[in-house]
Amino acid sequence: MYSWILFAGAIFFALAGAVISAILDKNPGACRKITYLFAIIASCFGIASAIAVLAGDEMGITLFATPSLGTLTFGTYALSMNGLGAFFMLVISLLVLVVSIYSIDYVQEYQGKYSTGLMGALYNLFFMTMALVITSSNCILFIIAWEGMSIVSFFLVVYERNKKESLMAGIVYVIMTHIGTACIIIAFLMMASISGSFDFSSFTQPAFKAALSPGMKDAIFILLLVGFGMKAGVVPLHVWLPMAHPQAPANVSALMSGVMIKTPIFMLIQVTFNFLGIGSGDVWWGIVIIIIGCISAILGVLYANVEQDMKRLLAYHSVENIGIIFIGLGAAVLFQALGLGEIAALALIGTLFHVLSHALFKGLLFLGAGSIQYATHTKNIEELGGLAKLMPKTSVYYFFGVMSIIALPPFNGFVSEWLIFQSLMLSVILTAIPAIQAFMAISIAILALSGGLAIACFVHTYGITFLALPRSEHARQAKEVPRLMHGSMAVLAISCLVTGLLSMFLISIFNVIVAPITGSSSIISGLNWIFMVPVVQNFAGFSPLLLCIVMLIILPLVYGISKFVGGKQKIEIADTWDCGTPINERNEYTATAFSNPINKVFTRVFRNKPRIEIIPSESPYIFKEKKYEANEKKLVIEKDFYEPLVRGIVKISQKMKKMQSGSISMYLIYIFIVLVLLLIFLR
Amino acid sequence: MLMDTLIELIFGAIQAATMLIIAPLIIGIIRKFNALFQSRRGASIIQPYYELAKLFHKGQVISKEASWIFKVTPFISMTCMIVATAMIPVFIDVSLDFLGNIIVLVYLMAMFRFFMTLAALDTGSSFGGMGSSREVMISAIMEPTVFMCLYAMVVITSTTYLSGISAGVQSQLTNLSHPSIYIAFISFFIVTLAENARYPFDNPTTHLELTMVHEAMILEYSGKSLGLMEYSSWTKLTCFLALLVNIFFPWGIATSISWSAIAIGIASFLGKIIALALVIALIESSMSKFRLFKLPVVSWIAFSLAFMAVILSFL
Repeated sequence: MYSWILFAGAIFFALAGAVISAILDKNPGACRKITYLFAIIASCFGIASAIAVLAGDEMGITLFATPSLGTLTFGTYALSMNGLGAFFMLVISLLVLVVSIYSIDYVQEYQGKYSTGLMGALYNLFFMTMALVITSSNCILFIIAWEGMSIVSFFLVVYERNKKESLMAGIVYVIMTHIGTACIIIAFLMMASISGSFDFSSFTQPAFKAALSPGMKDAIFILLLVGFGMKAGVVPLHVWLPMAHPQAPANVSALMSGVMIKTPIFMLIQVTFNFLGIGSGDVWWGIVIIIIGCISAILGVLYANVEQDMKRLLAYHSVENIGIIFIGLGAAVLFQALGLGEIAALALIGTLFHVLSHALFKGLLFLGAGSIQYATHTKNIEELGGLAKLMPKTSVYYFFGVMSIIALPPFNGFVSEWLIFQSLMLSVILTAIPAIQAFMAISIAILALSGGLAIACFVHTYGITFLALPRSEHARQAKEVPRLMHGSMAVLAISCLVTGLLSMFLISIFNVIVAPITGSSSIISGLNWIFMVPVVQNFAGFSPLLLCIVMLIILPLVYGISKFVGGKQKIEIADTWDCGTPINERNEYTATAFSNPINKVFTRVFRNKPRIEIIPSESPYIFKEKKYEANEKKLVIEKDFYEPLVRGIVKISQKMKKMQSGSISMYLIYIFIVLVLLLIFLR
Repeated sequence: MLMDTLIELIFGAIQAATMLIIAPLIIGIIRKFNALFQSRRGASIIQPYYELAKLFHKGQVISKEASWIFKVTPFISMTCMIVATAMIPVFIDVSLDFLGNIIVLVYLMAMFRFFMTLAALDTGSSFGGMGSSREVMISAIMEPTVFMCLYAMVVITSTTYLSGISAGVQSQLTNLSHPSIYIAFISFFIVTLAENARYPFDNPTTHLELTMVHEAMILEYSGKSLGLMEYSSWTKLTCFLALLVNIFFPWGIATSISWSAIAIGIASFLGKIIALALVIALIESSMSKFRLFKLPVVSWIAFSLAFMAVILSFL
């Protein structure tokens, strides 16, 4: 009843914030406070509308109906929100709320360098377009919102327009995202040509599903998978992501990585489950999605391991986590196709939970990276170190994010990965097809490997950034960031833990959300609120809350006993042992050295042949100089997929150049030939 | 439900205590076997207890570069390992199942490792960095194998609870002829060596910077903290050995609560553990440590075995 008013409020305040921010551009001090205040209000309205919808008040606003053209109607431009949409709306609004609070202090970093009014305006519009993407229920309206989101985020990526890398990243981003949009438009046109309407509601009709031929269905699926996969940043369509996310200001990166790349996940769930419908012949969809997910999970985390730019490292982790989300989604599609609604529901719950977890911890980590950049003016982890002492609060909150992303119990990252693991493992009980069981076993192994590598990566990130000694003057002069910045990080850090501990409560909500999508809810039995026992009794169970309580009982016991046994002993503070020399930043372990074992083990992925060049001297036996380059980074996808592709395109365009002679008579002949051909073939 | 939980709690506590008590003993036994293989007399098998007592009676030196991570790590490590011991069945097929299943256990071990590797970086010493960097590499490439070995057993017994797997293998004697149990066991044995810094992955006694992994990480610890770190590492080895004997070959484990069954359970557990200690000592005395970058080959072998076990378990 009221949900649409609340939603309209969110849109209104975001829009108003954008306008006011642009007006106040000349007065940066007031601008940054008022702009983000509007964003905060807008996101509160967003949260309220999502909660209203989740409480059973489905939203539907008809903006206006368009006239129909012949057999095809453009349908009505309407905004609607169902349970699934409400969940994504909630995640987006929650993160925007926290990030807006953070931004009030953070944008001081840009004051005087770039226009803060512009950033504020774009920031508000970014939230608005994301909210519209989630709620649009008409193809054309959706494409407008989707493009709006892409363009606004493009401008945010190139916000630091004096930097060459920003512009480069922006160009790659805008090109790739448009290739994705093109695929989406083609797919929507195909769907609309069958249903006769651009309304999303016409795609949910049984008549549409009946009219859909299997070949057509698969073609639409592939197009949408490419289109949305591009935006989600799955391998091999990810190359824009690690370029664009680090270039944007940290508050925007947090939103891009935290929620923007989740909007395609929302659409993929909508499209596969609600629009196209999953039949028994669509098992391969699930398999394709899982394979993509596995490749993204592994390559994302491997690339992250050898990265020294803190924000790019986090961006690669987004690729990894999107991979994990894809594994969950693929499992849901696969099980649905096999007619196992219950585990499909479980896998989907895991997927949605990971969407939430990833939004919280990745938002937190990007804000942390922003804080570090704010305090030290560098994002190269080789120059950092020792920040745990200089920025104690940031270091603790960041640590929460790290524990969550590497899936340590009882944090939310662990709960969501646990659910996805369970759904994969349950395949062995509920399916009798050995090929699928073996396939699931491989995905379990890959998920495990990515988990192990994620731990390796974050030991390196956290250890080099926050621990030991500062490695540069930048790091030595770091100070704790302003209150709102670390305060908003604290909110996210606590919610990472709380959503893990109270996961049973969240799962019961997810259960309600996925029930209409998969047609069955996954029975999660046991004592509610405390135990998690998915689908089959006596197969698996987990209680994050009890685990946490047990650990909190044992920890002080261990502390007390170890203090008691042996009595009080002297504690001396002294230098670190470094073979008799005083320790300094020159003889610390570096990030490159730390990741080198992994770099070497996975040489084939990194394509890093160490280059040794011997500089000749007079004597053939004594070499005075040798050049050694260890890490010439050529990642496998970039080298084996994109380089030939770009070379091919350049080659073809050079051939095409011959046609462009520049003489008007030639062009007239071309037009004439095309006209004749069209007349012959398309009468 | 409540009664079951209570029983789990009681036996979980007793078994955790058992494991914690015998952990140093197992180290002592391995060392003793090692000494015998090398024609030495060797220290008494209760020497590790003396070592612990000594460490707890010593003062400690903490690096001035260390942050809170370095200080809390010994306590968190020990806590993780205590919870882990409570989750593993030792002499009876009951353990703290309500906390979680094998995945939770694996990630608890990961938590221990995570804190230890971070603490190694915390003092700024290159030794710590070296050890930590090697450790994360080795454990990352072993992670899929861990999951595959356990997954093979999950497939055979249709449950992911540790006590359930024990009971399942124990109750269905036909399962003992299942080839995948043996293959997964060999693979998990390799994992045990890798995760616990034994030969051929690491030399537990070395202090040479070129080779050390585990020792490099705890180099800066002293006194009580070192005692806790050592103790939790020993407990970890005990946990892995307990998993090896009770997940794959739970012969003799008590399936009912009676004195005689438990007595047999304890005796068979100790017998099997000592046999494994003998094997470990035999390996350590008869082969040398591998080069670090040869280890991926070993991990591939282990993974292939584990995966084969999973595939066989479907049949």
